[in-house]
Amino acid sequence: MAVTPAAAAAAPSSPKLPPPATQIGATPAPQPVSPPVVKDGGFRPSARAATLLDLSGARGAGPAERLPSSGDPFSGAVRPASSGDTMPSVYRARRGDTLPSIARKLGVPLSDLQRANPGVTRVRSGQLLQVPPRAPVAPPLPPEIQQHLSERLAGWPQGAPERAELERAFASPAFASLAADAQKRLASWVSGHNPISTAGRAELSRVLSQPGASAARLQELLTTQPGLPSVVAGLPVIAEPNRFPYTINGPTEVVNAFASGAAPASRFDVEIEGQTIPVYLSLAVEPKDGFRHSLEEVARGLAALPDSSRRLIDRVQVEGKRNPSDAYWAKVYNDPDFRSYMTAGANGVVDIYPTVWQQPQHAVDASLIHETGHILSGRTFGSWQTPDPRWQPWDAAAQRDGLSPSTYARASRTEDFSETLTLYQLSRGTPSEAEYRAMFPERFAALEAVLAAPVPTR
Amino acid sequence: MSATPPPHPGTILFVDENKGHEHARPVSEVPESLRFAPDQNGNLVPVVKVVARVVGEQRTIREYGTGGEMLRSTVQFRARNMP
Repeated sequence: MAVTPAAAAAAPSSPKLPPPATQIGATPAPQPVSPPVVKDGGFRPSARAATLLDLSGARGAGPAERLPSSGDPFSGAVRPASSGDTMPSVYRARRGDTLPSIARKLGVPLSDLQRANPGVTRVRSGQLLQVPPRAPVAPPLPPEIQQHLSERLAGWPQGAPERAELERAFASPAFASLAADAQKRLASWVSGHNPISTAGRAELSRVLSQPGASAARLQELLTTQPGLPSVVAGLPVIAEPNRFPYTINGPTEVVNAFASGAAPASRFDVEIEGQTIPVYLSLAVEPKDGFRHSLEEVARGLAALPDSSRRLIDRVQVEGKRNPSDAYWAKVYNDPDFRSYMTAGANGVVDIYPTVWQQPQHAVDASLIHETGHILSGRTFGSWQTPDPRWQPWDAAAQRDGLSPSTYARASRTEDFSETLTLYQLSRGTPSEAEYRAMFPERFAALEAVLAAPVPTR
Repeated sequence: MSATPPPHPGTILFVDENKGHEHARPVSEVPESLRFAPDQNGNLVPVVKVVARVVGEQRTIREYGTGGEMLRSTVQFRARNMP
């Protein structure tokens, strides 16, 4: 029997219902025309949710359907069967149900279910619970995007909370309304296990949980990328980077012209892939200036460099004292709180200074890659400040990727190069490599072209 | 490596990218070790621009030559508030 809205409104014992959710980027959902549906241990899913869950008895209804009378106050309620219906309903609890299990069954956030049923902490069999309005139905995504999402989700096992979180996000109308390239970019950003993705995923969930989540808001999220590390070197170390084999020969006692002044030094030769890199350890050490890296740490850092970067290094100087330039920069920039850690010169000389706090291996690894990356990009693409057409391929790659590896990478194209190179090199051969490659496919390809080319000559 | 560097243009522009400040200083007021830096061939050339940017607990100092080429790249760590 079909029921008119007026008749539905007159139905007895109709509970107060929340207003229907607004559908974004899809055909507007029909307004509720009937009292809620009550099903024992069941619910009335949206058309999209019904495709994801086994809902026997909740599908296949005709245009309008009378539920069998069961003697409960809502028996005889009529539900429309149009797809895209977002009308809320009521759920009758079964034995063993809990709020979290019901939330999972209904496909709604637990917090929404708790808000819709204030004061309910334990569920009794037969208890009626208000079902919060589910997210509006999003239109189906193109096969190409679905394929991309499947690939991104493949890294998470079925049942993982992160996977469920991502599936909800990708099924949202806001996501469906994004442009195709933005959908792929967003999915690549938030789907990984790595720290950049984890932070992005948290931000995405936060945005989607807010009223008015829209494609514009997601686009803004993509543009600003909140949660990015300030620098790639600040990312937690997930896996040991690949290092070339190396040997250390020496020492030879010499006098070396350090940045902090001429001083006696021990010279060691670090051999990597047929290259000899002299490492000078100053013997004029000022203990109050702090901690120095050991020869072994420096050698390991050199072994973590890309071959192209390492071959630009002429020598490394492990200074015994602070950088004498610190005092002047402190005055010029009105901040005395910074101490030099590492300097890389265009001539291939790397200076490493003592630090107040002992620095881990990761610091020398990341800083060597980043700072020598400036030498590499300078010799490959030229000056970044003056218009140089050699930078155009990198700029185009960065624009197509549309994501940044760190906030610092946004400072300039040369910082973007060095930060991306650091991420690339430190993730090579680790579980994160594929995830980062999905985020920065164009720049990783551009980097590989640079690293495969002959080492830029002087 | 040439023994005699070319003459300095006379000023060095110090840029604070965080504050958006730029300040040109006569080279005579700048320590000698900061007036010139080796280029990629090891020849001393004038430093004409120094750009500082603080990012998190780091500050980077980039020194540039007359052609806009980067001559030296330094990363600094904040001395206090470190773990």
